[in-house]
Amino acid sequence: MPPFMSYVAYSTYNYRFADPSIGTSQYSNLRLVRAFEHGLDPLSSEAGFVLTHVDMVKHSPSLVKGVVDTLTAVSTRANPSEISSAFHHMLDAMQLIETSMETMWANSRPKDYIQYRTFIFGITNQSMFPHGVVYEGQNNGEPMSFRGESGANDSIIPLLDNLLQIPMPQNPLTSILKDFRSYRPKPHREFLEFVGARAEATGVREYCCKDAGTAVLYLRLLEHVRSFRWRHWLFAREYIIRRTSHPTVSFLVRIRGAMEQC
Amino acid sequence: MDQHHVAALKHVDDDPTTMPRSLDPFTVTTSNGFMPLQTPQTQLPKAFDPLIRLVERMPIVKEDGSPGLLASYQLGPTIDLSDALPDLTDEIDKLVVADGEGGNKPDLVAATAIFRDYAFLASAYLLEPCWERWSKDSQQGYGLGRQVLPRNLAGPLCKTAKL
Repeated sequence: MPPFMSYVAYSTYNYRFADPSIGTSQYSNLRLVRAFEHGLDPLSSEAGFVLTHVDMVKHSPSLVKGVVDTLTAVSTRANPSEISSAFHHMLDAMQLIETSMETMWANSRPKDYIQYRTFIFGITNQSMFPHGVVYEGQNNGEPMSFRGESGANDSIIPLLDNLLQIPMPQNPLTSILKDFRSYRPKPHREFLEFVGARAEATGVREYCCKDAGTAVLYLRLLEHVRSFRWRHWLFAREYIIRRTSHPTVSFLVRIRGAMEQC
Repeated sequence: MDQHHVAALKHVDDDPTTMPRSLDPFTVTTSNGFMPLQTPQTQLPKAFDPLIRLVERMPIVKEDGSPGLLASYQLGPTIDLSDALPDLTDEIDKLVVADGEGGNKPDLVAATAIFRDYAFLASAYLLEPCWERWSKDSQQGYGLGRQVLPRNLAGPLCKTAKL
């Protein structure tokens, strides 16, 4: 991992429980371990922003199970009922993940984001660090630069992109997304690469689309990827773009540029 | 499947409660998905007490509701001008667990928790001047951050990042 604040250090490795016996099952039981601003208050916008991510990712086990079962079913040319069962695992998980994602608006007020955002900027292409940062005793004293943490470093949507073999255009946005890969934990990176390679080798999309029933399930899952990305775009617009005049919203500008091409 | 891909699936059906601390906590299984194998570690060995104390004093509002170092822009001066945070880089080498074959391996659970805490301190240290400028007058923008990360933050952050 790059030696800089990462998505997992900020979110999925930064929670604890008010009551360990309840665990992750209730959102209200989640607390932050570390925070910059008001985040140690569980009702603050900073806590809500981070803990909503945790509450979403807690549903990822069913997604991983569905992906592994789909790859096995397709590679053994299993009958549609086996593929259907694997897809239902993933559809159920995505329903829960998107329902949780929608609670972001209530858990974290858009107007507050710009405050704690000050501490999650990166040190690449930022006016505050025109030459990056020198890490004393590292890299022969030469400055280094790393991107800031982003929910786009999460592994849920890349997992479905890879399984469903969603083609990506070459543009400045997708080149940033490729760069984001190195900001994920190594096991996530390896798993995503494995899923992409197996989906290509076994032809998941082609196989699912041969049968009308599994084709519908494939399309329903694809629709979750679309609605997730759309909601994420709305977050970017409401939490960041409307609230800041800081010029280096390059990633967001590129999202907008890429959307306008569609 | 090539070796690289076999590694990605090696633990996928394993039970997270039986997995060793020498494994990356973000190992993917069908039980934990993309969540860590264990609830994130919050306690660290005694040698890291100065780290914990400083990161607890850091936030604008501390756990007890009182103002922390960032509230008065004192995190940087505390790190630069006091001995609040010794260089604990060498302590990280001591974080090992038995590998079951008579040897030791790095304790990646503890290393991940330490990485998290140093990552918070490093970002707060680098961006504290931007926070000060912006919170006094947001029309003035963020200005410049600190351009050098001192050894006592850079060393442990880089060492845990590599594990």
